[in-house]
Amino acid sequence: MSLSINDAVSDNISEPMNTTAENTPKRRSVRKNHDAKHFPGFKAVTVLFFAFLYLPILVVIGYSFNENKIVSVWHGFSWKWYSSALQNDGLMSALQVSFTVAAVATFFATSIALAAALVLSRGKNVKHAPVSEAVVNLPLMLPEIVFAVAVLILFSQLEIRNGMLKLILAHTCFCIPFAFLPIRARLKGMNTNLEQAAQDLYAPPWTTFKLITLPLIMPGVLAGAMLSFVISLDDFITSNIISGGGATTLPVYIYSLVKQGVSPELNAISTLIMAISLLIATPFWFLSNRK
Amino acid sequence: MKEIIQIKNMSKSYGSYQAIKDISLDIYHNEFFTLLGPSGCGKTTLLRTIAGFETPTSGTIKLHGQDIQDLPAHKRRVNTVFQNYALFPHMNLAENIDFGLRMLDWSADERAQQVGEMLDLVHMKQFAKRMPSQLSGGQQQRIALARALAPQPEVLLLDEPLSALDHKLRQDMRDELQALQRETGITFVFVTHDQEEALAMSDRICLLAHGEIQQLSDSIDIYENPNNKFVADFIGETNFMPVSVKDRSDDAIVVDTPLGIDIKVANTGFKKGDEATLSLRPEKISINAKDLDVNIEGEVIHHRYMGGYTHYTVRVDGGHELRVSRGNEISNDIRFKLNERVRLSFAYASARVLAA
Repeated sequence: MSLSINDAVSDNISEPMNTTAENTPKRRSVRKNHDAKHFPGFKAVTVLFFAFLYLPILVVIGYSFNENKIVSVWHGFSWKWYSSALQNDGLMSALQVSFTVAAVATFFATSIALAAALVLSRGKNVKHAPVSEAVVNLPLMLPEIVFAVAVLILFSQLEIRNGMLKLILAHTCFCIPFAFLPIRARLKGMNTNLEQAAQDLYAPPWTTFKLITLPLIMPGVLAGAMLSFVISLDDFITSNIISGGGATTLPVYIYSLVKQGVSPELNAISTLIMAISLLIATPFWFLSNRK
Repeated sequence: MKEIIQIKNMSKSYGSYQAIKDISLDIYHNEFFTLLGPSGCGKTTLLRTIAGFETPTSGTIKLHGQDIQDLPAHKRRVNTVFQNYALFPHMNLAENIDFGLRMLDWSADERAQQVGEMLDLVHMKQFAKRMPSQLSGGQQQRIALARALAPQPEVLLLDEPLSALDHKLRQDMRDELQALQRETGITFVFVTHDQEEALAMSDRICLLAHGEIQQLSDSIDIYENPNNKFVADFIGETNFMPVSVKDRSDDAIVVDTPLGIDIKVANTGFKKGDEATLSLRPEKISINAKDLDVNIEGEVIHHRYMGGYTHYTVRVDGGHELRVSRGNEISNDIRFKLNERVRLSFAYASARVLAA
């Protein structure tokens, strides 16, 4: 868009100035030619792009209904891998661990991120605010394997052995920056006059937060929570390195299955997880898109 | 006249920058009080310290004789109309107006009645259920006013509330604001950088510059009898000329001017030999009209038609240029042309001598 306008402007400059009546239709035609849709092959590239993104996923979904034990040879439609997956105790317990860890870590990570974002954007005389903000975001730039090894050593030093506790602590930790970013962005975009207006109208600070700040940054908080949840559910490196102590997350469990060979059950599990993620993400998406 | 706000020796610094320098002033009951000044003069800071959004570095603020400088904003019986209205976007108009009443624990009946009255007061009854985003700027302005007036504050603070409105609407809102102030009897403290707005509405104007009070008086006095060059220059337009005092008596001084004539003006504490500045408003000079104390001739070198009046720049014989404005009282009136010879007249009483 900006490109087309610039072109239109430079076009006008390079030619002698016409009257505005002549200029207006000319400008419009230039813009039309530069619209992305008019580039040759736009459609083909778009189709290719979406195919590249979604074809593998569609293959997984399709083959999850394959009756054959050999994954890549179609034999006929069947629900049998779904029932087998649902009856797999190891899988179900991994699923349960994953969701529990994700839910608890999301709660703590979002709360901590919210507190950090509030202090950094609303606190008065916060010392070293830019450095603090950088520190909160730093884990995003750290290779995860470094973080994983660090928590592994830390936990062994502190002699924390409970697998669930280890997972929750580690996941909370690396989810914080993901929850922080959208909340911080929302707070930055919010007019601080609104909070002052509430205080001016006799609302004490906590009431102001409850009635004004929180409702207005809610889309950011929800987005942060959703990101945390997905990041936690998806995590493999850290969960794998600190696994043990009686808690295995789903990605770690699936990896152990893959090592024994790809079973059609995996397709069914993947499809199920996708369905659940969609179910969770959809209402969040609608909520955070609401004004 | 009873004071409602008393500010004593207040200063406010941000690091090494002093926004307010040792200001003392009183604001009275039922008054339309205006804080006027260019941007950066400290007027908004002063308003925000009264509201409780800033704490003074030193000095005291009293509301009804009670010290409030350490009271948080939500405990002060003053309300603010913000420059960009600051209506709560997730609440409808009735809920916005109700907010303060809810916080003050009014009963449900009283709240409903007050919200209704406030909507009536600003002629917005039919919009009660609308969201702020569905309103025009002028309507949002009205709701912001209603919301701030609803809890019946002791003082209403208005932070450049008209600056975001277009010219015509701004003029209508001036009348409405003034009428509202008379109707409610609440003290208004109004912040603006627009001298015209200040003159039109205020009972008293406090003109600030560089964090200090330049003059505090009513509209007529601040325009007709400015304290210093800054005031004369900021309020309205004027002609400045350097003068020196030639002679003085008890009640008058005679100054010689670059116009080549001597002028006799009231003595405001000058001694013989003092260098001073003479201020003469453009509309106090008449063109080709009846003779006054001073009558001089010159040539029109510039004119600008403004609709209701015309600005002329006249080069007086001797070289000094004077700005003169003349009302266009009769349509198709003959206006003065470039290079036309004209005769300018003004009364001694129109001139003011100020410190150089």
